[in-house]
Amino acid sequence: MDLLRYNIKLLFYQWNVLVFPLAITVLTILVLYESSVKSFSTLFLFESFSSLILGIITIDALFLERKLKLSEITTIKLISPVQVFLVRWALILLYGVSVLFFLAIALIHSTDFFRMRMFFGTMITVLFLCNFGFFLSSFLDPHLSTIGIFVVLSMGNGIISQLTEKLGEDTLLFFPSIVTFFPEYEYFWQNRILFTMFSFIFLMAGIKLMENIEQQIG
Amino acid sequence: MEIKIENLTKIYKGNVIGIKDVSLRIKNKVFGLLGPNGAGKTTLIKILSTLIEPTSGSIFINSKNLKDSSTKQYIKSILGYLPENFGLYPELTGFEFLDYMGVLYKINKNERTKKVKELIEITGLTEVQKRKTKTYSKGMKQRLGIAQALLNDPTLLIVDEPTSGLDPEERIRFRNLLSEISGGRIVILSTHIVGDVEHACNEIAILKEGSVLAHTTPRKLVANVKGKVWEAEVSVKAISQMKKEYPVISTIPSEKGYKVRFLAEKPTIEAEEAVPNLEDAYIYTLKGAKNKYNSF
Repeated sequence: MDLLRYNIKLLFYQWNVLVFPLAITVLTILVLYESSVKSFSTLFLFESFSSLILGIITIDALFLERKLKLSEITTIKLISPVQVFLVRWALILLYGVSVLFFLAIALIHSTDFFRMRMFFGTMITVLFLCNFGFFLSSFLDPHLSTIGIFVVLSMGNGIISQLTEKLGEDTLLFFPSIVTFFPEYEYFWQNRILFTMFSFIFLMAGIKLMENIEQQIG
Repeated sequence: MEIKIENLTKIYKGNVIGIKDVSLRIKNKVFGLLGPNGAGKTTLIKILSTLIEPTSGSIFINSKNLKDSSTKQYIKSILGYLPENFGLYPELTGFEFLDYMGVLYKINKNERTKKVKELIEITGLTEVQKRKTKTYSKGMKQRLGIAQALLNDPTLLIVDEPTSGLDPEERIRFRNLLSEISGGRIVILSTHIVGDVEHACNEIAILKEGSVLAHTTPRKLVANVKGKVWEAEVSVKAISQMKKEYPVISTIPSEKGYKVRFLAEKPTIEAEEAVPNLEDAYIYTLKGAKNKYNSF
């Protein structure tokens, strides 16, 4: 309990962990309210930017001891740093889910179902790309992760913009449908195959991510 | 308790040597690791603290090999460690910081509160214990650092350059604190400040470029340099030539030019033999000694 209490306190003082998700949520609602925002590409860009900020501040909070030059002291204590990391991660996740829940309620009352699905589909696609970027860059150097994510997101955005332009309105649904299962969508089975492939890469990226976390904690 | 270090070598990426073939035996004492910056003191300490792995060689703590994971866990339970550069959680108070460190040591609440209060008193932080650590001076931070290292009542306490950056008063205060808490445990004090070792250590090892140059007591090290420390008054013109010929320990301006303290077997200039101190012996070992010196 004391471990939890102190970590809540430590996270509480990381004001950006509390403020940024809320700020981004409010911005998201405003963006979705704005009727001119219809393109998947714009949404993608907005969510990429949000994910990058949230990713950086989350990493900052998770590796707080590293930032404060305290990791040499905490690493040799009996409670493993990985345990502390998981507690902190769970707390951030809980907070994130709460904010997301708030966002979902706000969206239900503010926008149509299609947009909502598109929004969450985009979010998962962005998260996937972030993870994939991290996965790729971690083979080079863990410190290049942010750059790797940025490159993958930029490339992803470029490809999606091109596809939207060339293939038209359908593409708006294609990417979200990979992860949100539109049963009525004509590429249903292809999506299943893609989803399985994506899941596999997700899993590999997750394993690599955990390895990196362990390495960074020491 | 006994620590046996055998042929320990650490080579970092890019073939950078941290330490090279270091062998030492440390028993219940305040043990000083003395050496210039980059001598390998911190590398040795980090290996002892299980923070990094050696490239080769072994460490035995009470005959248990540090390579075994069970020994590593055992070391964590008996180790107190104060690194050279460390930060604190700026928004926590001194009391909260120590209490949280106690949580990480898995100490139960009642025992923890008692221990934290006791250490706050020992380290002289009673009046500032409720202040956030971001308002602490460097000396207060160091004392808080040593307090967290003592939370688990360690039988092995390792402190890395604890007095660097402290003013003379805080340095003396910290040295005395270290002597007071040293009873019944091994204290390894790593420093490049000879005065710290002189006042606190029973035994020392001098490191240079990753190797042990000497392992002895301060008294024996000083005795070894007897008859090799000289003082002479030289003119301003002669000083640069003198620095080329002899390892100069100190130069003090005088009426004739400079009063120079230097090392020599038999000086070729007019000089008086001086009573050696640990600083002379340290410089002699670093600059003068051609062979390794081990009195153990």
